Amino acid sequence: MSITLTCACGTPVRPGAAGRRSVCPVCGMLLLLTEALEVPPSASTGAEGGYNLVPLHADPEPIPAPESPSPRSPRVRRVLSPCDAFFPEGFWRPLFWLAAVLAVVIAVLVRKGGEAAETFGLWPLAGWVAVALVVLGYLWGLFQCVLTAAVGGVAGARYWPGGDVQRLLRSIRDGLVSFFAGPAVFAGVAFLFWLESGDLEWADRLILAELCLAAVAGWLLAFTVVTLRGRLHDALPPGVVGLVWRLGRRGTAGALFGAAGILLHGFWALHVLEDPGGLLGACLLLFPCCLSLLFWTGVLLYWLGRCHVRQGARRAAGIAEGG
Amino acid sequence: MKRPSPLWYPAAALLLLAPVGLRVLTWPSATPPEAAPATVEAGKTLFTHDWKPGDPLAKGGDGLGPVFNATSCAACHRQGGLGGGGGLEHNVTMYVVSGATPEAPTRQGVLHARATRPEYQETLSHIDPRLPRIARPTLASLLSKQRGALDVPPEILLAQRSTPALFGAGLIDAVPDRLIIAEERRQHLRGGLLPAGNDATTAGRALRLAGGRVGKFGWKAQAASLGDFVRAACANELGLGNPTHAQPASLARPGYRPAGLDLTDEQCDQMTVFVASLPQPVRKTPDDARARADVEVGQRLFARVGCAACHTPDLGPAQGLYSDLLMHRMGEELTSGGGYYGIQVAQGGASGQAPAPDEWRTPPLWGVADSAPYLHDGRAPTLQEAIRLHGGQAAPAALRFSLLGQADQGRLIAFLKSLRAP
Repeated sequence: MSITLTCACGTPVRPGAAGRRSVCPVCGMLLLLTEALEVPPSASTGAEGGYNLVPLHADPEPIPAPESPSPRSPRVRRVLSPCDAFFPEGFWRPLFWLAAVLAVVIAVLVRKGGEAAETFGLWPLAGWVAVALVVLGYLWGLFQCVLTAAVGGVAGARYWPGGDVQRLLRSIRDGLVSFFAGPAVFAGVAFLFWLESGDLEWADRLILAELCLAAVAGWLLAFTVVTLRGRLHDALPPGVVGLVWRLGRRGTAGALFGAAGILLHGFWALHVLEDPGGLLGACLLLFPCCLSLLFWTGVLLYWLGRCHVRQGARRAAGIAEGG
Repeated sequence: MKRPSPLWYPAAALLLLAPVGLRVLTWPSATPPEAAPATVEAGKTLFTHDWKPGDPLAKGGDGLGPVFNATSCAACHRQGGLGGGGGLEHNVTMYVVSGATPEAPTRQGVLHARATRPEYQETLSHIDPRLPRIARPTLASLLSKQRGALDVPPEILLAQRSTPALFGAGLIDAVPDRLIIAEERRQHLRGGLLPAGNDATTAGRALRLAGGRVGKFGWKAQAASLGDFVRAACANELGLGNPTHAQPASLARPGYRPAGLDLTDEQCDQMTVFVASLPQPVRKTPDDARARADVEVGQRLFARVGCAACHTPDLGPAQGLYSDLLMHRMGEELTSGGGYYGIQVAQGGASGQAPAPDEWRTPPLWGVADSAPYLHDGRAPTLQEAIRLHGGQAAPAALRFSLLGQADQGRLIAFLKSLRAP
């Protein structure tokens, strides 16, 4: 019997016999052809003749099973379903909103934070930091959607936090743990070194570049591995090194390159904030910077996710051939 | 492919952190150097020496003059002890004459109060023929020019500088440039990354001099080291030419050239070592418990009002300095451009490297109780008046001070008066 199936990305895929793996030629998703009854209906992507095509996570360590969607999830999924999280329109709306809110939060915190802390103490600042954390939670939630969509499709779904406080807190936790498990050391040392080193010579600039790259790339990798494996302790160096090993030279170089791009956005933001204009002007000028930062970070994470899948597929193919 | 051994993780972290560690080890020490007692004594002899024309201590030169403001360093630096500040009578008058066009060079320098011979005596008329033949204009006559006391053409700026106290100068000299720049960066961050000199923030800036050094001494931070400051003072106040600063030519006889240098490098170093050895000002808390409590409250108010944003209590080895050694804009009322001590500081805005006319280095407040009158030209006889005259970036702090009750104002002043000369 000839079976015509459609991958989650819309590409027709010709699978082999039941139980055999196939890789979508367009999106690279690893697919497993199974009997229809073995698969939950929500995970099917386009079945005919009693078969379902299920995206399969290629990692030997399975990614967590999809969480049960919250009551608001169906509506949210229409806006940002995991599979179309990155490229189609679902990604853009939250991206624009988050970029706008992020620009406002950064501008207010930077421009008014120091002054407010001096005048009113740390409590108003703590309020703004809480707001910033919520924004970051949504931002990281979006990136987690992108990552899981890139890796696991529907089966690896992780939904946009929306009004689900628990999901939001989990995203905040993942982002912060990814930072404090290692990159924070490099970021802290870089900040103190910049503060205390006087006028920078070329050697100082090189050292700062190295530390900043280590911090940003380290965070990207830790965040990726925590999201993909769902285990917080993977943010520690062994987990990150494991991911680097899995991604290979190309993936690691991509992470470093992406980190450099994120740093360039940091310089852009600093340049904007040093403009003596008012708060509104700073917000408006920061918006394109934030938008570009979020977009390219999304692209990078998507690419890292795809690398993760492809390397896994290659390894699996190697094992199959060897076995 | 095998995964790396767990030992590689700390090794990789160390490898990434090694360059920064090695770089930090190359940073200069912030400890003042030890001085030999004999050198200090020799420097004290030169500091207190009453110089004369053809002085035997000036082996190669003409000794004092031809134009000068005092005959010894100690003549002016004596308030609160040897090395202290000086009163209004020791003010130095300086001038800036702008060119006819913005591109034309400006003339600036010091109008010396005295001369070794009558024909060398400088007067205001030597700066511009329209000015009167006065050698020592009073501060009052300069400040009240709008009432016609001194009719100064608009292209000419006349201003005075008071004698700063030198106590603890060795500690200030030992403050590494990087610590001043670190304070500049902290203020920049605290000020919302707005450019330095913006009145919306208190963020100051370090003045980078030729050669990349940061200015630390002088009202306009025009000297990067104590040695440079001492040499410039010797040349400009006493007319003692030295290897780095020639003695100034008299405006009345610009053609005069001395036979040689009055001071050798060794003599300059001895004087510098002596000045560096002057003790650090102290904080004297009153014996009375109530007065002591007032001083403590005053210190907290000092921080709360915002004075400590620029008058930072500690800066590296200079503990209790109450200055960030940065340049801050002080408002229109405290405008006075130009260099000082013959060091040419070009005019400019806060965006450039040269200080703006209303930009001043934060004066250290240690020993402030024994250094009246206050501000760059001593126009404020009291601390309250000095605070009131703070404008520009310091205006919000001055306003907050004025909004304090009489009792709290008194406590803050009591705290300042506890900062005494050694």
